[in-house]
Amino acid sequence: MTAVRMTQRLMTQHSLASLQSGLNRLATSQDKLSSGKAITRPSDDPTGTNDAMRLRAALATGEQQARNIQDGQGWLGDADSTLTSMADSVRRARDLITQGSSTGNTDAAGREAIAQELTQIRAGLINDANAQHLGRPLFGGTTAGPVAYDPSGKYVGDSNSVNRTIGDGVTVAVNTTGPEAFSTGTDDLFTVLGDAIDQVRNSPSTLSGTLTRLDAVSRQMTSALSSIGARSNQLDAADSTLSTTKLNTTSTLSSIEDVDIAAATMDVQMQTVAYQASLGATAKVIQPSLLDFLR
Amino acid sequence: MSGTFSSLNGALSALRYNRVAMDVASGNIANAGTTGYARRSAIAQATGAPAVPAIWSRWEGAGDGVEASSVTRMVDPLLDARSRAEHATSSFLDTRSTALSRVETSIGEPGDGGVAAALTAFQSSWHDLANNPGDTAARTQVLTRAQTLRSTISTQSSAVSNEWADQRSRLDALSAETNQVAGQLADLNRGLRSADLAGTDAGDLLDKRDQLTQRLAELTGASATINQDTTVSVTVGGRSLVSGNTANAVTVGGSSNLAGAPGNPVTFSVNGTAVTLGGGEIGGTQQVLSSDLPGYAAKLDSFVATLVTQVNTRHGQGVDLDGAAGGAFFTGTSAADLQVALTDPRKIAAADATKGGLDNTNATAIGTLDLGADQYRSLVTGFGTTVSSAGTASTTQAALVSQVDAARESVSGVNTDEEMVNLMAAQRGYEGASRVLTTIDSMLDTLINHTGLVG
Repeated sequence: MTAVRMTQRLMTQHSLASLQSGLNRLATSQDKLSSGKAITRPSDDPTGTNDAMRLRAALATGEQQARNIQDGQGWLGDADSTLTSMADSVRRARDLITQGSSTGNTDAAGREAIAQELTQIRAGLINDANAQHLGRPLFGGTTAGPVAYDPSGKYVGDSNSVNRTIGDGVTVAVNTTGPEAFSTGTDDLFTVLGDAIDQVRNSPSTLSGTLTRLDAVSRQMTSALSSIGARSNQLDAADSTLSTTKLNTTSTLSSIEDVDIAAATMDVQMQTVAYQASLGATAKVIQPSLLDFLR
Repeated sequence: MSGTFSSLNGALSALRYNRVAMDVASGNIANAGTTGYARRSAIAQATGAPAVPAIWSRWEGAGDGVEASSVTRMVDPLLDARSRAEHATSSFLDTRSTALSRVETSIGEPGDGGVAAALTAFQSSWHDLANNPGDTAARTQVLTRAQTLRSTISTQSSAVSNEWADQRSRLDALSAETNQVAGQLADLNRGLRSADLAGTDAGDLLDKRDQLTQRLAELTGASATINQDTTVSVTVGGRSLVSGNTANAVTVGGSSNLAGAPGNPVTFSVNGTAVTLGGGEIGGTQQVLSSDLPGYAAKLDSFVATLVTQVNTRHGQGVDLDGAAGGAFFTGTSAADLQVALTDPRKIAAADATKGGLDNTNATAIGTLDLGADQYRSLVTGFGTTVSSAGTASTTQAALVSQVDAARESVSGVNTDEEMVNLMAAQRGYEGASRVLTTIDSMLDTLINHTGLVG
């Protein structure tokens, strides 16, 4: 190495520059440690920033989908409990109809009593079928009206489904419309029950055909229930997938964005020592001069 | 054959030279901390035989003493030129890097307060609306989130245009400074020329000349030529800025805000001709003004255009709570004029046109649309890369500059130890010459007062 001619100012400048850069490095590591963030601006790590932004968006989407699932579970749960209790009522109606069809041991007064009870059960079922979830009829599709069935038992809702997005591109209908649960036309639950009431009073002998129709409606309700159960399971599965994904995404995001505390602490320590060393060296180097030795 | 008293002259010349040497050393020590001062050195030359030997009248002396032939400034013109070039590049990179990182700070990514977060929140609010299409609170939330998104975009856009305006006024200030420095340099050239003709020592003027030239290089990336008569000619972007004692003016023209820049671009002219500089603070400012910031703004605008088109198109396909077709959700086509057009929450078209007001199909669709998030992300990442590479280039250049500066200082800087030694050498030389004088004097005394006195 060729000997460079040194001057006092050169040394001062060198010392100042290295003190400055040491202090700079110390400030950077301290900043990282105190903010806890490895990326505070895009230029800290452009690739990391890209990943971080993508993961943040994915996380937010996941959270939203989890909210959608919860909301959907509300719809399905309400429909499930309503349908279950309605199925009980339908079984009671079936018993009464069976009883009414046995013409031999029931007189006209007894049949009238059965007809009365059936009428009440039917009214109760209509009421149940008008159950609401958050102010909207459970079985009315997307109708703007307050009920799915009018008092006479006629369906006034629509056939639209209420969908919830539970995954990217995955939507699930969380409602069951009246026709889906209680059939339509002459096989409709309320029509069948209306016919039965009429027949209990007037022509008990024809009740057996009505009983078959009621069984068909009952089976439809059961299949609606199992469909609700299946969809609820689908939501549960999606929810648990979302939780796992969220956990993974959060930890990946943290590994990209957050500072490794142990490493950062060590770094600050190292930078402090380095800074102190250069302070000491500067103090020693700047002092001596030939002037100290001239008399 | 030398005269009797000629030896006295030799001693006298030594006294003189050593005084000059001491003066030079003391001047160096005095200026040890002066910026731009190049150390001087007294060059001694033995006086004696004439340079051209004559045939008939021959020189018979034996050393006639010493003279200070010149006082030299210790500089290396090559290093000076190198230093100017490196400093020009360095100020170019520094200017750009500083401006860009200021903008970057205001972007606020990655974080919870940036546009990306606001965009995600906006989309989430559509899903919430889809979960509850009849709910006024959910509808109002969509509008509120849209306002938040608008204001984060607008904050970012105004940060860019504010930085642009700052850089624009900085360009004015820099060009004023360039004119002032160029004027000083032209005046100095006049002084240098006279000093050169008169043959006087112009060391201080030369220091000043180098300093001013350096400053011009830092400002404009100018290149300088040192002429025979010690004056300097400076060219900027191939145009003459300073030549002899004339300084040409630099001027700045064009729009004073970012919005007007496309129709009225900012120009920097030397002596009336527009130039684009590749170095210096002005070059850096030009680059930021003409390419970096407008580029960012254009990409931000394109993201906003995507957002507006996507949302409005889809919104128009749906119907609102009252069954009416959805109107424009946003208005505007750029980051600066983006507005939320809807004010009535009932008018948000969440439903499919065929399914009645309480349907959520359209809200779900908007919630899952690609509203340009990828586009925005690549904008931020791209900008981050630009800032990071500008920062790295600037740091690397700073190392180069400090190396060149050190090399320059090594040639021109004052070492006080060295000056002490020079001072002592001169002192001893002076003492020695005095002793020679005393000796000759006593010799002459003997010759004059004691010779020929017998008895």
